[in-house]
Amino acid sequence: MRNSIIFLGIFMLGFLTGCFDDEGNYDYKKVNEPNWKENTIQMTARAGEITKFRGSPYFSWSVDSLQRASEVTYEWKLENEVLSHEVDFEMPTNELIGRIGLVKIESKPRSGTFSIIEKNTGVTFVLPISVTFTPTNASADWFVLSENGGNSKLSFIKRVADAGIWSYELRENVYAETNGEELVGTPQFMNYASGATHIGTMGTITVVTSSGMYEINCENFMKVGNLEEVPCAGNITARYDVKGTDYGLQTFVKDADGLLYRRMMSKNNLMGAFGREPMVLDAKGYSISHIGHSSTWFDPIPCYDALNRRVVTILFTKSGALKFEEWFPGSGMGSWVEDGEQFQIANLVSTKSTASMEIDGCAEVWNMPEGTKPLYLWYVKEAGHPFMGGNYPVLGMIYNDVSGKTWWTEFATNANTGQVENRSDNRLMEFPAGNLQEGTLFLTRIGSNYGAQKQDYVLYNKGNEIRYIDRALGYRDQPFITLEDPNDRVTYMAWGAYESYGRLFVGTEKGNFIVYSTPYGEPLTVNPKVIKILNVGGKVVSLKELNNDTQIIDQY
Amino acid sequence: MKRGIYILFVTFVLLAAACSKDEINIFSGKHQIYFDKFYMNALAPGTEQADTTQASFFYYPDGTKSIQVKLAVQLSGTMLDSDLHFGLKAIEEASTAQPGEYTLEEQYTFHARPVAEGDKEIRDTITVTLNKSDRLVSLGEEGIRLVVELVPNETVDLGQYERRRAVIVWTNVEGIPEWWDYEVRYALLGEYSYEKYKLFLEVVEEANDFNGELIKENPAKAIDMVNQFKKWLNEHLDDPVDGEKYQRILNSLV
Repeated sequence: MRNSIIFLGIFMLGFLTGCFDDEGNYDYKKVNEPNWKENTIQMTARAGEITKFRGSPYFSWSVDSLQRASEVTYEWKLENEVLSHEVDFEMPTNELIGRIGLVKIESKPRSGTFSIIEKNTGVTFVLPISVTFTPTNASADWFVLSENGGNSKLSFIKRVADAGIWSYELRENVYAETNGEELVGTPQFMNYASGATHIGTMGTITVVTSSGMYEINCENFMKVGNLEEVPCAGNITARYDVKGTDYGLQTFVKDADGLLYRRMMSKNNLMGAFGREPMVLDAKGYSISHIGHSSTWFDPIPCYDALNRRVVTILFTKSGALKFEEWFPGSGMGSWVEDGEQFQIANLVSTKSTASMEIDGCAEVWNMPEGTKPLYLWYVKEAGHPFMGGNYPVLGMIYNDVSGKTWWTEFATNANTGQVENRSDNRLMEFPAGNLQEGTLFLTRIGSNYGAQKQDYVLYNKGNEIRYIDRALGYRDQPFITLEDPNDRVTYMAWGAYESYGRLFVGTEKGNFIVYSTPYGEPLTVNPKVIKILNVGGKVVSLKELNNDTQIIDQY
Repeated sequence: MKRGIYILFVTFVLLAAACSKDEINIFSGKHQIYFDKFYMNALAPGTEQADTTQASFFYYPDGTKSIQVKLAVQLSGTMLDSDLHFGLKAIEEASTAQPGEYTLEEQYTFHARPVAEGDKEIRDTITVTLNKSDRLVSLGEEGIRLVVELVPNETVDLGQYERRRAVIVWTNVEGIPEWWDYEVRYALLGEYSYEKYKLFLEVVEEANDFNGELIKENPAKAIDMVNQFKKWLNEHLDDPVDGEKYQRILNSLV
């Protein structure tokens, strides 16, 4: 009974608190917050340069801005390190790297805040910042290989922010400047291996001239070597690199005899020795004359075997143990999943079908007529559906027949065997814009990230003009760009893949490096805006865009 | 109140009693014997896979007439205080071995011996003699198969059904090399087969050097040797006698 009285007393006390008067202060004071213009401040900091922190372009005041400026202070913080109390300031990137204790430059951005703090009240308005650190030479910069009298010249074009707009600066002859020697011989071709990160964060550039081969570290332009390790007859005549997280880098080189050699960098082959034996196809042998455009991932790479007049592919197949996992225990229904390390195995395979049914709808790419001259081979698209018979690659070839007539063929191939299949995607037609000359340049894209609309365009050059075939518009021929100088000629074309294909880069006979605006998500327009023209002093032979972003799989 | 205390006390006593341990004797009951390996896949809910004991005369000096294979046997039931004897018989309808190609003892012995503390199995080994016959070489990788079954008596029963028999296969070919591991299967030579490995050794230069060390230290050379093998096979596919075999081997390479 005594306990009950105590509990009742405590209960009643609780009720009593409900009777107290609330004497709190509920007067509101107006807060003059800034009007943020963006959700985040995104910046890039290049090693060895000055990083510019700019807060003022990102906000405005609704009231007298001069008065508000006197009432507030600022704070820049990155990785919890306070960098400055100025609204705008600059800092050497190397000092910044030291301040935040960055030990490795990687693509993952570093986060922080830009704060505006009211002096009187301490009220703080915060905008996130995101800073991506890059090496001095970084993604979206370009190498240009050009003629230099009887020798070759390697120049570097750096993407820079100019009053908020990305533009470009030229640094000529960087190889000779850095290494104290010329690139001897006339330029033949250039290749970019972004996956060669065992040499430098940004990979390596290979330059082949009429007299030698050079492998160059993209970060500092230093010569790495002369590709002495490549076991081929004479200088290599083409190089192709593919890479993938967990699968390493695979390099293919073609020698003067058209034989392909492969280097597979794996857990046992980190520094990458080339095999001494060329890749094997079949009893007929082969001599590769063209390596087509595919991706830097493990997609099939179409090649032309001139010895046997046929299209063959470098086909990648994933190899490794699999196990069957049921979706529901006891259901017997399920799927095969990887069970252990997987390898990407490259094989050179024929496109000839072993099926009894005749293939129709496309050119007999496995047995082309005598006199065929391939102009361009490329990976057109991935077709099919994973749950409706599986995906399959569609490849393409533009070629001249013995009479000089230009043809366009597309052919579906089996993803596992590389053999041509009967599919509705197969196509054979005359080139929509008449006949083309040997040596015509083409430009396609395979990557589907950042919008795929430019996958439908096949660009080609005619003298000082660039035109394109629009696959989505019934393969219609369309005008695109005419160089201002009627006596100049297009010698190289590449999409700015790192810039979401929003820019087209063109090299010319007279040494011009021209950047056109081809905005992301918009159709191509005739004679688009020129963003920049730079001149490297001699005929442009090749352009290569740097990138260390694994999502970008187009490389030109 | 007294009644409440009584109920509480009884409940406590019952709970405490539940904590006492009942000693479990691992080895008790009548003797049962069975092989270590399963001769057939375990019946549900078991998951063990059938396993074969393999042997090869390839590794023995020329002229070797017979070799012995060991079969592990397990015992369940009470501990042995004296040796236990049992028999073994060939199951002819499941075997390809002919009577002269193997020798079984009249009686086999499971030796009585102390069991170390913590052991959960009592195990012994018996041997079966395999005799080399003229036809063995011609049988290649397929070899000769012998299925034997344990024979019980009044002192011993048979144990687990799927382990009452043992399967022995012997050949005159080299067995799968130790270095033919996951990487070799999926990145170089594919699944092992005698005909493939034999041909590889015959036609590829320095093929005897192809081993785990080469794959690790000089992978490019290992890949080269596979390419040499592919090249040779491609060049001999029209062989009127072995063309089909070469195509089969070529298709099985990675």
